[in-house]
Amino acid sequence: MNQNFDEIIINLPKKAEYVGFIRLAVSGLVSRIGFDIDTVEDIKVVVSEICTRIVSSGCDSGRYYDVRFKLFDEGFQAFFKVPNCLAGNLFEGDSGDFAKAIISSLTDEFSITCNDDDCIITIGKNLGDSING
Amino acid sequence: MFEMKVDNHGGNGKVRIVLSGEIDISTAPEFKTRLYELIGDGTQDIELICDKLSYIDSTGLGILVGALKRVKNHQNNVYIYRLRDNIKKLFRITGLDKVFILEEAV
Repeated sequence: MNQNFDEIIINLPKKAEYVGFIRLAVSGLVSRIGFDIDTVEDIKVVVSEICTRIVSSGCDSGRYYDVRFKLFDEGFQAFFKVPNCLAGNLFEGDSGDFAKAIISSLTDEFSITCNDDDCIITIGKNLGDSING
Repeated sequence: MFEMKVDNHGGNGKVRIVLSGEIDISTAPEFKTRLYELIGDGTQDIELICDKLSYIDSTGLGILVGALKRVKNHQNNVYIYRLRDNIKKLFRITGLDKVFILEEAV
């Protein structure tokens, strides 16, 4: 994706009741780019899945987490910064397996990169053929 | 918003549950508690009517798998009716369309 983008950072309480909010917020953000309604729904699902995994993890005592969105002309990326300990058990259990399958299937980009302290979960979706109208 | 109603007017000996709204991490605890109460020992089939269910996440899918394991212990099953296309897509992605019995007509 090119270097022209708008960046939005949302700082969220690590509470279950705010996952619905981020689902609605991302819907509004990516609709602006021109994704069709089915792709907007897919992106809502993916972002919600990652937030759910972050919120339900017990390894970090932090009360908030950041989600950073980059909106390009031809797509979008989202970055979730999480502590190293969380990334290791992010996709445990049946629900974790389902979440990983859903995220992998519905995105064009999905990666987790770590340093000594933190990991960044990156997802991306290209506009491609998913254009509204 | 999430709602769960028991509808046993059919009188077919199965537990019929009508789901509506969204099942996500904030509503999943209520869904799990009430569903597992209704399943009990798993001695009856479960029917889930889902045409008004607009969203379910991996947490909710995990709860459904747990419910299926309980009823399967007694050779019973979970029947899922009238899933919306967006949710059916998640069942396909996760392979759960091969695990559950998905039907259109009740």
